[in-house]
Amino acid sequence: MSKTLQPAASTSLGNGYAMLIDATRCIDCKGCLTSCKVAHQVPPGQSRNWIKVKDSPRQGRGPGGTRQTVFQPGGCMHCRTAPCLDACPTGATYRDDEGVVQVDRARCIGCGLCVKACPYDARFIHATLHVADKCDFCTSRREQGLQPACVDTCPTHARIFGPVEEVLNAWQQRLAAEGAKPLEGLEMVRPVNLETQPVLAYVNGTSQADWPPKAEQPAAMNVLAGAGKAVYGLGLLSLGAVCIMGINALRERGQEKRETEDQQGERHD
Amino acid sequence: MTTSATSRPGRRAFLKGMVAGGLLAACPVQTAGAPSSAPVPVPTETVFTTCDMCFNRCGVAARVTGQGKERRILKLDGNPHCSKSRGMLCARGNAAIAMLDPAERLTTPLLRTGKRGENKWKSISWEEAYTLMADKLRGIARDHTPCGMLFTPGADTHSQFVKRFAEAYGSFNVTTHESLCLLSGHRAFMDTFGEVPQPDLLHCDYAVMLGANRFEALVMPDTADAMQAMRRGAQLIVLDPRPTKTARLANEWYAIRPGTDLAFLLAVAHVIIHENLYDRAWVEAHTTGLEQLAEHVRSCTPQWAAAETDIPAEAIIRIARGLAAAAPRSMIYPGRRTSDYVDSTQIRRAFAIVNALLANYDRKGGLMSTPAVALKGYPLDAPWYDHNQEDRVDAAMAPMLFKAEGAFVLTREAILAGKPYPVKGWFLYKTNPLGTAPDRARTLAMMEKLDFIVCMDVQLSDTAFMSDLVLPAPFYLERDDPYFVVQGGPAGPAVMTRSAVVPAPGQCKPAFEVMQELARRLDLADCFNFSLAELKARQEAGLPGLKEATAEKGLLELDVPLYGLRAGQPFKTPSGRIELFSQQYADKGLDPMPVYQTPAKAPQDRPFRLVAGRSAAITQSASTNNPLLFELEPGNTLDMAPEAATALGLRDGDMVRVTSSVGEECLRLAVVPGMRADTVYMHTGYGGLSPARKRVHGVGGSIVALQESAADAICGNSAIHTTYVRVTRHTETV
Amino acid sequence: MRHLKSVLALTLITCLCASMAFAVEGNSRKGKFLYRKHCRTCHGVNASDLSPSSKVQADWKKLYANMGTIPCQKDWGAISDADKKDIFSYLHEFAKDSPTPASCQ
Repeated sequence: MSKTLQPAASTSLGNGYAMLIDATRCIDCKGCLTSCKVAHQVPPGQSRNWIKVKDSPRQGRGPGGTRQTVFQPGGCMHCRTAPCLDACPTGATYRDDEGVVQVDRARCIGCGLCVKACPYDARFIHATLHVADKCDFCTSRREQGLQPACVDTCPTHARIFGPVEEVLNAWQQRLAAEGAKPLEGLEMVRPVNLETQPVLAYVNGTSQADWPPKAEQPAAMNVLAGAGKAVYGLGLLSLGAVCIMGINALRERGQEKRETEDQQGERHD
Repeated sequence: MTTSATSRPGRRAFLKGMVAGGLLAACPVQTAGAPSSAPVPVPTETVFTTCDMCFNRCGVAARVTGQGKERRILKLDGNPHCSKSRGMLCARGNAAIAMLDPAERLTTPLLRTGKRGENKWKSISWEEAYTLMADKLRGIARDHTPCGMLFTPGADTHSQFVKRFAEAYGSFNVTTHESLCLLSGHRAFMDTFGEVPQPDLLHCDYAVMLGANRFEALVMPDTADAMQAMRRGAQLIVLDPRPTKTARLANEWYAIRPGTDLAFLLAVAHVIIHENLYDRAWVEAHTTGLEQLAEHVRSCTPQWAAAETDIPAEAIIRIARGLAAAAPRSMIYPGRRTSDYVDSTQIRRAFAIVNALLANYDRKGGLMSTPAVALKGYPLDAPWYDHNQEDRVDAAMAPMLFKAEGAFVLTREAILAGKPYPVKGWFLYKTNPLGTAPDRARTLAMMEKLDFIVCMDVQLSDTAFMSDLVLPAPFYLERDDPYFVVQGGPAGPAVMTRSAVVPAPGQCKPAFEVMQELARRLDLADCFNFSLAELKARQEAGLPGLKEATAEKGLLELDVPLYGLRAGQPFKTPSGRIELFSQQYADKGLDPMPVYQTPAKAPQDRPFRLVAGRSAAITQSASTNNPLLFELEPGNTLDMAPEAATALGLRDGDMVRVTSSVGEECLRLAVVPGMRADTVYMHTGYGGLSPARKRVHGVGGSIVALQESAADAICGNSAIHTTYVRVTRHTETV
Repeated sequence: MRHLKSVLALTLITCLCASMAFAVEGNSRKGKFLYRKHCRTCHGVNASDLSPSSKVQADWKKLYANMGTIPCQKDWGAISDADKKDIFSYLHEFAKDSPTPASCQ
């Protein structure tokens, strides 16, 4: 059963890292794809990021400044309410102190539930390591004082990344340099307003027509959709415990019965 | 669904593990786990160099780990100090790392043992290779004069040493790859302005690109600057028969009929002149021939041009007025590859002429005069050979040939004809005519006329595959280079260099070393009486701060004025002015102003014009076999308009056979909405001959096998948009 | 191919009529060699550092027409008229204001 997520009211980007993508600057050169692939040794045929295309080429002038073609780079949204965290049975997926959603490869058992749970299709099972893989906002590069590989390489500077405040300031400055009026607060930033509260936001009115993809939720997740994690865990635990106890009880009862029958040689119903 | 801010592994996870898989004891409690980026190794060092995946020469910051034999490059990033590249690196720049794999490379000299094209080789030592080359070169010089040897160096900083050797050896036949690309535009702009300008897109408010595809055929800083300018409201108008990414991102796009650029430009000139939309004082002060031009374009009305170009007259008028209103911060973007038609020089003259009317020369937002930057070197005292030819073999084949560049398609004809004299040997460095020169069969025929072909490259390209002796060159990351000047338009000029980041595999030797040793073997050691280190030292001595800046930032950016360089000096033209009317052309019997001719109709049996171009993920033939890039462009397709495909009963994905008058290729069809119905397109660099380049060997179609050979009538530059093809469904016959 | 042949024919005919109207018509290639052999031995060593880009084309042309006015002429030794023509042809072709070709870069 698939689930389409609805826009939520909140537009906050949180207080960790954020990435703004001005998709109107993207020329689909695929520099970010290659840069990411090399930086993280992603196997052939797999990718942590992508570029989506909304395209209807038409001669003449675009009406009123609306673009006819938009290239939309994407990747893990590092959601503040990430479905993948809930889906992960081992806790290999977690959100670190900087708000970055990580995968602990040592813990990951490659079950693939997180891949199904992500409504943005941002995850995959690594072809050779057999663990979940996805964008991690280039943790290692950040530790070296470098920008993420996709941000660093972009020829048209379509991406802005950093701590939220810095990102918003940079966006303000860019608007000013472009001669556009900087807006107050966060209205100038229109993140993809989905229930998962992503920290990756698109600006300049990038169309969301083919976004997000339908996500396939694992059945177990659907049954307990909306329930708290503790309740979930406890509920399953008790259910499991009851089952196990029940099964044991039945076994014991059966055993007693056979022993009784053996002893008595006859059945009393 | 709520989540705690930090979901840490612990008891809950342990229990979940039990529930999910009945794994009662399988999840030991751990302390904080490692993030996803481990266990990729971390670089310990950054080494600056300059990318060589295309001509742009973007600054590179190589992230390196280890020493000596263990030294590895982990990542190539853009050099943030490099203004020309705006600190970035494209897909190809990133993918360069894959070329360090010895499996992708030539590592020893190879001598052909079977017939050419049989792919039978023997590894030989450099000693044997030098002995063979010296022997052959001596023989050719003796039997056919030094001009019997053709040298073709590619776009590379070591090519100067191949040219130096050619001059020392006495051959005038140096034919570069520029004659397959740039020369028509260079000829036109040189003959109009006396130099080749750089466009200042960063400050331009209104730019018209005719055919140039800057968001795919990346040029730095033009690509980044065009986007930046558009973001602040500059207008980009694109004329292209294809819906390229540039066309689709522009403010306006018209699918112009191929071959009619000149009609559009003459009509624009008509509007600007006859509506008096130009800066009369500037034009009168700086140009010559305005009166003749005004008369020349009197009948070139927008209505006339509309019928020729398929662009509405209203749009032509509006664009002309838009250019004029934004002048001098407007331009007809000069473009780069101008190897289109036999009258491309004249077409580009029209580009230059309209720019002159916009009064944008040497001004911000217009066409920039080139700042002169000279590097010291070792002048060559070449010997003079009395036993030699009078001139280049193609000297008489174009009235305004660039003597230092020649014209490959003309050189090829001369060699095939054996006239005016025979050429018997060919030395190629870092260029692949069998992958990039039109009419592949003709290049193969030319090679059959040659007794001795040496090809120096990093991989067994198609040309190397068909050669007699193949020499392994280092890849740019493995090589020391002299300093070189890079013009950056509004980013300013810079002096850059390369130092080897990692050692080259096997026995690769840089061209400098090879040419120096070869010179020594031919008693020409005096012509190479310096080491590369000495050359660099001399260059450093001649430019204070160069060494320090290179050490600190990877390059030296020159703080020089960018505009107003001419400062009242005459232009380097015969008249000393910008020549709208070219007397020197008239003196040579050429049209002094461009004259438009309606393109000939397509032949009935070949209705589609085949056009060329590229994507941002490939350069030309050298890059297509790179595994990282091949993943992005796994072969080429024939792009065709939906209505044309339907009429032929073809669907997207069908295998099609494409036939021109010189060749036939098979590849998959891609139906592309917006494509002109009379035009088809395919990427260059596929359908390769060389089995060593295994990804593109026989994969996709070879455009050069289809392209007919033609040359610009004035400078001999290749003309590759003159080919017509027919397209049919390809059915396998077993 | 037919097209190319007619192009070639046209250019060859054109070349027969062509003339570098403003050039000095010698062999500039040989002129480079001769310049280095005869002139560079002094100029740039004892005498003024002279190279083609020291003057504009018009000035080289003027000098060639009035070689008697050149101060060092007595030091030249035996240089044939043909050689002098070649030397000036080289100087003219690479003069300060000769059109600046660009390169691929």
